[in-house]
Amino acid sequence: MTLRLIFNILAVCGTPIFTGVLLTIGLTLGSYWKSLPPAEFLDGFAEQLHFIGRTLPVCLAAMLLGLAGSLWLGWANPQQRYLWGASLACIIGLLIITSIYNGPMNSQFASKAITPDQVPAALNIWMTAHAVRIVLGLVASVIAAIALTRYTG
Amino acid sequence: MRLIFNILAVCGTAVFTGAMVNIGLSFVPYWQSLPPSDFLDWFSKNSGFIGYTIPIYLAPTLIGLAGSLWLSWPNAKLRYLWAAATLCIIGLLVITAVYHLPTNSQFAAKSVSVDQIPEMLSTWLMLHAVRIALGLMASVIGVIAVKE
Repeated sequence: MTLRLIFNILAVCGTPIFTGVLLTIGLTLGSYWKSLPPAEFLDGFAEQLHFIGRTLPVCLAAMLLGLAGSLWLGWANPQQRYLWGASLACIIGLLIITSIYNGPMNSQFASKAITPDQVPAALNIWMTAHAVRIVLGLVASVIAAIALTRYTG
Repeated sequence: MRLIFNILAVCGTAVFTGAMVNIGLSFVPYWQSLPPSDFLDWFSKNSGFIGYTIPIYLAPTLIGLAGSLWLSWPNAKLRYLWAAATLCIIGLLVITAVYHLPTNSQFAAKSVSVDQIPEMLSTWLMLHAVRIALGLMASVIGVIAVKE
């Protein structure tokens, strides 16, 4: 097994695995959170965030290592460089949205820094930003899979 | 056509595995942190949120694997690889049908006593880890098949 194959596996499996975690957060937890009365949502969010927070770094580390390694080893080939670069750019966009919006909002929910009557609107915006993150993760996954088919030996 | 099936197979399998990783690392520890009676209340009220999303992950996975296996059939090495990935997912679905779905129904119906919950959740998690391992194996085999 070559180093390139190891990085490719980490990138092409890690990116959709990370996206799968995001999808579960959006589809399952998002629906669950919206079903709760706002005060109850705020009461339980900190504890649930703690468990989610343990899951994401594991998937994120594998994905970033794989994408960075695949980009590095594919740098000499313009098509490879473009595809792995585009996939990594999607994930960087995802992380920027996380650091600018979803992360700070999570802190506000967890510390109950917003009032219950603000929760429905805030949760709707959170879900919209999260949907953009999921789309970016899916696009990165598809581009990574396409990159895998573009080796010429 | 082959590329579309390959993308569905590799991305679908890994996304499905990611969903299971999240259930295993986020949901189950949360369930285990609850008092058993609170867990049963939570599960009977909210397990539907998990159940309705599974077909969204499973459908592209199965379509991609079946299509990739079909299109690669004349090539013995590719046939072997896609068949191995498909077998991993079939194994995962067998474990789900034989253990997880019946146990989930028991949890949702609250038909188990609260003192059985900790042990049942441990078994649930152990078999879920096997499902995750099968999903990861299918994903890695899919990547190797695409790269062939």
